[in-house]
Amino acid sequence: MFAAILRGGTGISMGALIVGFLLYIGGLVPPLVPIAELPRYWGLPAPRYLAATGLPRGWGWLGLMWHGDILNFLGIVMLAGLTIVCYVAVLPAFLRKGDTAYSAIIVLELAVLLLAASGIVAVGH
Amino acid sequence: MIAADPTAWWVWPTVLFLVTTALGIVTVVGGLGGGTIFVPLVSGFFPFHLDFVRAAGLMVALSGALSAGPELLKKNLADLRLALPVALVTSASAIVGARVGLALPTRPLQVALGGIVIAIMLVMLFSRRADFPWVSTPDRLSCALGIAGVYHEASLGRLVEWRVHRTWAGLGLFVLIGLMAGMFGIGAGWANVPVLNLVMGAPLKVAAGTSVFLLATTDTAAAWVYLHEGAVLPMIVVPSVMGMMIGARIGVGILAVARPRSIRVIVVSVLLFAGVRLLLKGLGVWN
Repeated sequence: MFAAILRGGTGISMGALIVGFLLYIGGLVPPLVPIAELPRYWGLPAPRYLAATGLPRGWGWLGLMWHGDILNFLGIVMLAGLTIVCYVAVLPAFLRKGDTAYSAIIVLELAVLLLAASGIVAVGH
Repeated sequence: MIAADPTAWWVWPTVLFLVTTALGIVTVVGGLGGGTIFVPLVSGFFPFHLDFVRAAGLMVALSGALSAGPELLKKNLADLRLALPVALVTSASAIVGARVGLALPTRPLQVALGGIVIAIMLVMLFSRRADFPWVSTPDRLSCALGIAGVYHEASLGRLVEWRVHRTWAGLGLFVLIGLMAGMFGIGAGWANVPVLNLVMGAPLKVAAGTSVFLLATTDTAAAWVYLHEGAVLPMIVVPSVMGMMIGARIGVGILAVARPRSIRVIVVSVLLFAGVRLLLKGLGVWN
């Protein structure tokens, strides 16, 4: 099951990544940061880049999804979330087998990944 | 003050796409994870800040691992019972590594990364590998967790049973591996395989397959931290991921006719050059 979800999920995420990027560079969906200005920003550290462009940290980008550059985060987040989905999917199989140790390991792993995904462990400059 | 760059926006992303396509070919034929060579090369020679390059390196390694994962699981070459306890350790330490890496100033990071890249090159040159390590007595922890398995070894035409030992020592080393993966954004396949194979005693193919699974979990954890800190720039991530994917497909196609030894010389030379470049950049000698 893990393999099936990985295979399907990777394909869908990659598709979203490519479509989002084509819409972005094709100018079909206008970006928040003008594409021609990017070379001014990509040499800056991330905190200065955020400060200079006014982009939000954490999950704040969700509210700006109608911008071409932000739209790309959809595919990126799908890729980054795939492993979490796989762990959720295999947990019931370990629980059914009564494999307490591995069920606990999977629950702990999910806690670690969800903690990272939540943004709670952000650095905060 | 933000300096103006007179270069057109599409120039560097296009060069990045072409370079990562070439890297994809080289890494497949050379048997190396994409992130290991991507981060030193791109941070050394492209105008992008190390924060963005590390995040892109994690996404490159993650995409590669996710794409390879299903086939490895199907062939029993990525073992969940071996991978899950290790993944828990590496993912937790990768989050700490990512936090530390993003909080540190750039120059010391460049120096440290340069040193690590040169160390990786030396590991590649001098580490030995054992196809089927001898495990006389599995340790208590691996027995308690039931870490053992069977896979079909095509070269022998039979099933191979395996088990592991020195699990605590292996987990301790994986704490360091996770920290480095998160801090520098490099995939950790170069370190995962020797620890699983030489320290814990997993057969080489199982170690390599399980390492890919570990990369997926470790890089996921670290990638989220970089994403929330604004270090993920689609203009760098997407051409890199696409280039590496296309290159890897071409690499698989030419694997049968390529000379792995020559490719390995290229990979080692690129790592040495990029490592020295990063060291000098970090020290302010070659900016």
